[in-house]
Amino acid sequence: MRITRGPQFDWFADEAHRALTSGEFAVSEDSNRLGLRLNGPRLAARGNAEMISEGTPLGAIQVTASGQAIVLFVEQQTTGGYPKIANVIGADLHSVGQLRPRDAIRFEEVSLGAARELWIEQTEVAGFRGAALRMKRVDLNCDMGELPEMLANGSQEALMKFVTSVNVACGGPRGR
Amino acid sequence: MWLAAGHAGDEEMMRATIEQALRQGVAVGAASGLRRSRKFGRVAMELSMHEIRDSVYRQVLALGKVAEECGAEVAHVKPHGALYNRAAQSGEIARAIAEGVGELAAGCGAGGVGRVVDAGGFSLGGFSRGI
Repeated sequence: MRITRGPQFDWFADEAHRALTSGEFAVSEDSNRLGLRLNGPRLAARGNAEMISEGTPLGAIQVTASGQAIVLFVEQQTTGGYPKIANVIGADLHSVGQLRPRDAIRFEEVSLGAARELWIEQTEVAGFRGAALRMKRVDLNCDMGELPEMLANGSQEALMKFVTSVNVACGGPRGR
Repeated sequence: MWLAAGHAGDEEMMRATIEQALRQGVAVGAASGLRRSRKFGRVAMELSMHEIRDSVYRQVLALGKVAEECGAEVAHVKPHGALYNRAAQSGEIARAIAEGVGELAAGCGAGGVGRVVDAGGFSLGGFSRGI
């Protein structure tokens, strides 16, 4: 199973990084369509940092406080507060669906670029290339230029760091 | 009626917002609403299709002028507030908005406005997503 680094990869100790890609994991019987619990090496975090819940992508490998890895699957929750050490690449998600309890798996890390190439390759084989390319970008968009105080105190510009496009108010004074 | 500088939709606000967008590398679009009121576009007002078309044209043109001076491009138009909601329900209103934008794009050549953010009614009005 190929993986890319997750958003909290750096939260984990070096031993956890090594164990993730060198150890063998077994699918627990306590698994379902929400997620697959994995038995295997314990993946310890560096400190006791607590995170704020955030969005969870399909195939995210989140790690519980006890160090158990869970691969989120098709009926996953939309947000979660466990750190995500890695993510199964899109091109390998179908093989997650084939796993049964007690199956053994190993993980291999690939770069984000490689994961993307593999995904496009797979969709080409399946004849979905157009769809894959259309899906590649999300435009996060916000109304702006409405509140002078947000302009003055810098919060408007700060908000722009989180969006890809803005809709600038251009109502103008009446009668112009 | 107030005309003071530094309010939603006036030139000073548009310019400052566009400059910030350029610094942050985000695309600039026009939030085109119904005529200004204290609730800025959130009150449904009765306007004729002609008025909607004309209002969208003038608002986007106003933003386009400022954008050009700043070296930015108007990449999209998003109907604002009540206008957006009504465009989502009425193909006729959606068409009037698209025509207002189209008039402008025709006037300023190919490098003009890229697309209208879909508001539901655009498909009712016979347009495909993202004009």
